[in-house]
Amino acid sequence: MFFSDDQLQEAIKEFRDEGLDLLTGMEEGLMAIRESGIGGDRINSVFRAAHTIKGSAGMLKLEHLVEFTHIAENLLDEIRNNKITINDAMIDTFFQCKDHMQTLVVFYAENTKAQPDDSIKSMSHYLMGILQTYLNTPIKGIETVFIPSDETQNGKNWKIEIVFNPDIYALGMDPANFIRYLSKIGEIVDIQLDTDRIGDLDRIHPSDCLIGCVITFESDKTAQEISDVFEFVKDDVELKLTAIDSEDKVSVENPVDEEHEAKVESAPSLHVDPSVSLNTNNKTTIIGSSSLRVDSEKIDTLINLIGEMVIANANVVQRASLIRDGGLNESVSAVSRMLEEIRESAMKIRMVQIGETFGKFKRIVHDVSKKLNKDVELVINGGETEMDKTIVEKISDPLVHIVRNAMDHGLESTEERIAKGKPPKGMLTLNAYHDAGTIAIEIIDDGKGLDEERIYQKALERGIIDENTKLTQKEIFNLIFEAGFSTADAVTDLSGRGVGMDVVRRNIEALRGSVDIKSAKDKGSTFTMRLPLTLAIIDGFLVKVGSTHFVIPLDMVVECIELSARYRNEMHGNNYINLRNSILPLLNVRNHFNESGERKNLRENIIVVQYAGMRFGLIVEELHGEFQTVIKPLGRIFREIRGISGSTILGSGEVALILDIPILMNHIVALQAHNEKGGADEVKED
Amino acid sequence: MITKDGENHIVTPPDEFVIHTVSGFVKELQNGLEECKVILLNLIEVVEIDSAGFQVLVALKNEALKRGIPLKVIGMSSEADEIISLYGAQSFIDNKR
Repeated sequence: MFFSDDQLQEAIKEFRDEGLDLLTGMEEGLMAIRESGIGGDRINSVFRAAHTIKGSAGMLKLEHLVEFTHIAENLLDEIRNNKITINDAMIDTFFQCKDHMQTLVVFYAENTKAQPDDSIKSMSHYLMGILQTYLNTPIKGIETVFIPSDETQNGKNWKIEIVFNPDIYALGMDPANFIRYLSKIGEIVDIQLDTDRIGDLDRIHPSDCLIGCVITFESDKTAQEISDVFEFVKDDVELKLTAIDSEDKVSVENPVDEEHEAKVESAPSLHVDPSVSLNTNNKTTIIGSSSLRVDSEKIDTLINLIGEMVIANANVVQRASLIRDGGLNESVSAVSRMLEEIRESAMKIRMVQIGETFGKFKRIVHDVSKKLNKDVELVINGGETEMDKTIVEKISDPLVHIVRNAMDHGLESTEERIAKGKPPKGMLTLNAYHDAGTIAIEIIDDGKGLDEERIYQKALERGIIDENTKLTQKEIFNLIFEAGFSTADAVTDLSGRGVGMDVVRRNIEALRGSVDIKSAKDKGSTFTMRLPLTLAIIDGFLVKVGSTHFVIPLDMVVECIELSARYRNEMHGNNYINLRNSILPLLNVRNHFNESGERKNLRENIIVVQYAGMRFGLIVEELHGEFQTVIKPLGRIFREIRGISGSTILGSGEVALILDIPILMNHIVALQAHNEKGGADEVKED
Repeated sequence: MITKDGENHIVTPPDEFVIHTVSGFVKELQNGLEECKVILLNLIEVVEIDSAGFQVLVALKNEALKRGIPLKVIGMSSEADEIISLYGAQSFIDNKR
């Protein structure tokens, strides 16, 4: 296949996306093989991933990747044919190979025409050497790998003899697609099907591919370009190509490797349609009949445009309400409703299951437990919980850090656990669930728990706190998120460098999320990350205090009540009321943000909000109701303002500030804690 | 699906006539064409067909040739027509065309 520079770049980008997906599947397959053996479709799925990557890489002439993957694929082939028995060491090598293939895929995606440098090649040779030792018989030399060359033999009329391998359906391939693609680069003048090969009803094996044919083909393409059509299945097709109008008949036969004619046990189809995959003019790739791979930039653009429409629509709604034309208002309402549906549909496109991220922890836990010589079982719950793709990507690193810390510092060694009367195997649990408009992700270990006294002493030693600082247990735990804090006795390559946990918290807070710790000595620790469902457009509740509009995320709003005279009497200057026999802490938004704008009327309202299982009330003045809120980030100057997570633009063109409920909740909790320690005087609003 | 109309057997493949459905259909054909004198092949309901489905059609035609009984196509969807044409098997499957 020959590409222009633009086409090549685009094709490699698609190859990267598809390749990374396949490698993720390969890793999951290897984990499954480690747990349950090669049975079922496990070894075939790993083989297919390697096979497809090699095929795609060959088409793009990524020779080094083809060479490397070819040897890994050979070994996988031997294993699936029961010629070689897989063992743990071999699985570890395949994990390394998968990582290295990932490095190569990313390298080629970023350096379209460059060759891998010496360090990458050294790693390739190192791993290829190990793979070779596993292959009992000498493997074919790298030079025998089929890579399209620059052969330019030309013809006009070709005779193409094709026989497809019986196993090709099990690989998800359909010969018809290759013939259809062939017709795109020339004209199929005649096709003679070998009907005897198919047989009658008594002889047919319907799940075997029995297609063989001779095609008379007219094209000005070279032999190489024509044979490239079958690049994806070059190991699974006998192909003979003859230029029939040339005096010197050119015959190109593909090197079908006899060793590769191995049976593939029944396997679910992995649909690779060359007529689509090879089309580099279109950024969208058809993965199967019901899913599309779309460039995320396109979705971002769509959502940004919908955001602008929401803002423009708010302006239309406001202006229409001033005209007081019933018909117009009805039409505007209809458009608003539809716009809301479009917004919800568009936002759903971005939602992905957290399970994809959780899946990679199986490998991490396996690698880290081996390194630390700890026996750890990983339990994953709620992998189907959906959240915005951007958030999923951004929480991946913080999650890895917390998990590694939990394994390094939290879980004890097997000997320690036995001595404490605990099960020898440590338990690490990842939970995900929806909670009041947020996603909660818990990382739970049943290890030794955080040592309150030791954390306090370390913080003193490092000057993070002084001797007079009185802290609650929660505040002491939160010290581990301070920059430069580490209690690890030895700095390991996993954690304990004192960098990381502060970055973890900062990254989570940058996503308008929060992280919370619960821990009990010798029982274990729970890190709970709470994150918004999305970063783009939310349903908000619009209120006004003085001259400033504020938006509260609607999912967090429980109810609105009037701050009546009865409640005012109850308060007696305190910041709480008795709401149906429960204490409800209050935060006066006007006082908290020093709002000095004129108050239109004396009536005040309480918006009861809920976050992380706790409730508090926000005292506001005017209630404006539900509002589709397009989240705009705050400028650099305002970014440090605590309690405001972003802004939005109202229909009138005014700016409304979005309240950061998690931060305000923390503020209230801190006020309560100091109140308990320092007396009522300290409870006053700041 | 196979229905009988006198000595005629009307053979109607599944609407999704693909690798996942062919095995079951072949079993049905192997058991359902006894005493058949004429095969009437109705492809009108086929909305999806791949090479696995196509090769069953070829096997059915081969079966008819082996038994010396006619196979007549009485219904054709565009999807079935496309793959039969692609493999150049129009006259083989339905020699009246």
